Amino acid sequence: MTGNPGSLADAAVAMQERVHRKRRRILILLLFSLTLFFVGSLFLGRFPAFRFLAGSHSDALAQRLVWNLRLPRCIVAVAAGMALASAGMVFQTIFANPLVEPGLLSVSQGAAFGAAFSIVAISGSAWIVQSCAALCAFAGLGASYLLARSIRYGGWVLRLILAGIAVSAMFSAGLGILKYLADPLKELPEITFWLLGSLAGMSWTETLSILPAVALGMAYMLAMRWRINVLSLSDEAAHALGVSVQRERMLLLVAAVIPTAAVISAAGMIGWVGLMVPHIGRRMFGADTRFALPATILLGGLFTLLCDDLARMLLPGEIPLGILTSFAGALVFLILISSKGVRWQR
Amino acid sequence: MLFFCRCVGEHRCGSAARGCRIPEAVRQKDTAMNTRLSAPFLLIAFSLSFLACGRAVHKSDLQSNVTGYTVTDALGREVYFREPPQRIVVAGRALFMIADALYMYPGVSQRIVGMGKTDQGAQDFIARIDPSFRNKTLLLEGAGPEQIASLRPDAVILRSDLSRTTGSSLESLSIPVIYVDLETPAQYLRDLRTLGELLHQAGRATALVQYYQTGVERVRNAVAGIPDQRKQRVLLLYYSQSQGAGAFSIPPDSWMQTTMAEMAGGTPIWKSANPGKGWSQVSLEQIFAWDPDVIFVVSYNARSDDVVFGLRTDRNWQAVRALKTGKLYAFAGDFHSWDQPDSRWILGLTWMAQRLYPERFKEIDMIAMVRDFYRTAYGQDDAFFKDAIKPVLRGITP
Amino acid sequence: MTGPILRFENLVFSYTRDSVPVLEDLSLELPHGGITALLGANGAGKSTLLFLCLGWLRPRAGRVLLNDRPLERYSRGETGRQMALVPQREHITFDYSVLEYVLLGRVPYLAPLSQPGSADYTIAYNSLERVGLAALARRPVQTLSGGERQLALIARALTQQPRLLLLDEPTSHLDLHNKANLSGLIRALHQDGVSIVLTTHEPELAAALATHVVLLDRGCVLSSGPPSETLTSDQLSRLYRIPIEVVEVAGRRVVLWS
Repeated sequence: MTGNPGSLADAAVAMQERVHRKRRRILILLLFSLTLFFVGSLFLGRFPAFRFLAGSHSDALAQRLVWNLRLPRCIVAVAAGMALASAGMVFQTIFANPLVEPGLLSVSQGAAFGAAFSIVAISGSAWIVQSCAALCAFAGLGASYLLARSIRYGGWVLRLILAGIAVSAMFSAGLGILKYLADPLKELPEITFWLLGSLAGMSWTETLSILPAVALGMAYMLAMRWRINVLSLSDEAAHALGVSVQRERMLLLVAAVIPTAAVISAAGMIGWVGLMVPHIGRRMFGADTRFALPATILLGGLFTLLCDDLARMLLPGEIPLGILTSFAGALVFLILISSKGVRWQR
Repeated sequence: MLFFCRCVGEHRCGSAARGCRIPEAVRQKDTAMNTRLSAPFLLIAFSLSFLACGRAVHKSDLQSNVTGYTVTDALGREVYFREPPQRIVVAGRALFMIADALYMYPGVSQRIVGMGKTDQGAQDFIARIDPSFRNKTLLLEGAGPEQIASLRPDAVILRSDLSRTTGSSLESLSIPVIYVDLETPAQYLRDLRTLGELLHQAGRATALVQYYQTGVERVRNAVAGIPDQRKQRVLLLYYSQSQGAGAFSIPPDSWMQTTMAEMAGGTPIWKSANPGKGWSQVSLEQIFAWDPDVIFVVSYNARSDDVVFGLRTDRNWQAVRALKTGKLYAFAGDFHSWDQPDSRWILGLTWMAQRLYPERFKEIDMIAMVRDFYRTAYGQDDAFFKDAIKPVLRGITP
Repeated sequence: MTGPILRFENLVFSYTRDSVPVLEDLSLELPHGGITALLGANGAGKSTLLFLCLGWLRPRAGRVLLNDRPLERYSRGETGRQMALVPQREHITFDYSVLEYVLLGRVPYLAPLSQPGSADYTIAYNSLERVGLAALARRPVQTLSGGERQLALIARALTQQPRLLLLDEPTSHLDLHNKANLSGLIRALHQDGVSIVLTTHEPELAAALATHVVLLDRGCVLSSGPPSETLTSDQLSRLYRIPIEVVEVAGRRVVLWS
């Protein structure tokens, strides 16, 4: 081999650094776009009309509307998108399966059951609905985990997925019963709207109640963003690399589920974000979660904010957010799998 | 922008040119359109203006000499009004009940700026009695707080179960919200008074409550003293189409239908049979097992008398005793079926009692009562009865 | 460093509590700095021994000592720095580049919350050069051929800078060209001072590479020692239960069977 091997390595590493720098630049661009879009969303809306921006600031109602209704709503939209997208990426990497969603281990169904239960049986305030949903989401995760440990065959991943399916089915049945018993005028519409996911009526109290959970979970996931790669390897390989496989996987799962449960409990079931956005992130930034995860987080926030803006602006009435994310998500998915795959950064 | 009325939109002027009457509290100055371009400046200005504008809603802190008044709503909240509201919005589900109660107060039509759907699959009663109804903003069922706020209401009337969602959003915008229940007769009369307070027409409220109470007393006195074992065993069924076939359901204990059956002196045999809080489907076997004395069939989207007609020729129903004795009745109604907690519940109650115990209500002429109701409650004359009510009247032979 | 790099003392292992033990009272010493081949039929317990050595499986009885220290006394990171595994095959779901994939070998040296730096990338790249895959550094791993993937796995193991390299049936699914390539690499690594333990069911490979051979038969050690003692006709015939003849041709052992 001609040439100094040391310099070859340096050259390769320098090239890698350039790629990293490019990725970082695009991440910053994404962050900037998100911020811009966020500020824009505050002023976009059917009511009041856009022009109020230009007018006098003594329009108290419009100001209150932006500050008390729109701002918390936009914050939750971004937070929800970030939480769900990052949880989706973590789930997909840990389970080494690109078709996995954060609601997999009956987190979604558990939260849905908890919320419906509190609406029908307890009929308390928003706090109670949220806590019940979060509690049942974790109960679902715990039940799946315990059930998985008692399954005899299959690898760890297969056992967890099977257990998740079983526990989801139980919660689903419970949810069906609750829907049947609910008051069709008062409770059933609330349950249905919740099941479709909606950010209407998001207040500051709800927003502030989910932000800590979301921030915590995402902070952990971001800190571990490179190490998540290792957990996508087989159990033995990851173990051989000096990783306590069970513990780190469970910790990451919990860190992913906490924001997911919080978001679902406040905003209902918003689907497809956790499934779709990680794919886009990986397409644009490569499979290395060191860059794909931050990208996914930003893209998730952007995507959900966009969908929520449409949800409140397309029609005079409110379209449930889950419908829009599913629709947009499915569309993007179709485009992704049928295109040749534009690689931006490799 | 199809659904906006001409009056709403940007209220740049305080002009009465289009008949807009904007109350003091939300009138804005008409300033020139100074375009502020700098975003940070906007942000700072926003924060400052937020700090500046207060959040007070209920108790007045405005310097004024006009004495206002307080309204206590169904949730016990005290809402302050400086003057009677001129821009009322009624929103939510099943709001025809609220609308029908509101319209019993004269002059309310000009004060309502936005309302949702008030028909129940058939003709619209409110449209018949209020010609300017077409010009009001029609809110879709999922109307959010933003859309309601854009109408710049100075009072929003909602059912109390929306307090957690739409209501709390509106409250955070400092828009006065009045909650009503309108479910049981007692609640109905109480909420009627609340609406009267809101519209500053307490006298009218008293008169209306008096009318209802008289009607209830009449029925109660007539059926007093019937021993339990002699009471008619009543079954009320709600007919709906599900999956192409007809289905019958019973109401829960808490609903008006159950209370009405009891007040009319009957025994509602479906009590404690409904596990949930909504309509619960029952099978024909169950109906046979109950073997009621009287069956009332309610239908909201189809005409109840059509349904009963179909049942009378239905093979499966031939063995039902109530059908054989001729006591299978279509529940009466006109624009709305009379079994609901709507303004017509007094008609439903009286009609039901007359059907159950005809000998005790021999002197009651339902047609006259209906005429009297529309005159007293809505100020409508006989011509209205002939043109509007009679064609849609069912369950009574005029 | 003298002394065995690996010692197994009275190991008993079964996969579940009531199933037949895969290893029964197995005791073994593997010398430092050599190429040890664990030779045995399918299901003899070779891979199990490897995983026990890694600490991934826990024995029902007995213990494993690495450098004369019980495995339990090592922290997870320490074991990762001491020994590395080259699995037989690995399913790769996501399209990492070869360099990113090999970089994962730096995990034991990085604290859980830290990111790899340029020094780590340099080490990873050097590993790629060592195995001859430097030209493919930017390619996605999924596009590599079977032989190249094996080399990538070895590169990842080398990135761990281990003292002990464990290879699980490294050549079972490779063609002759790749087999020869791999054998050359293993010898080169041996020259660098890395202790190597590999499992195989091919006596030829053991004959070509090993300095120390262990014959495993149904969970028991049939014999353990240098090839001259273990790769003999009657040992192998006993192991495989068919007549086998081992002859020396041009200084190399050749295994003949019919």
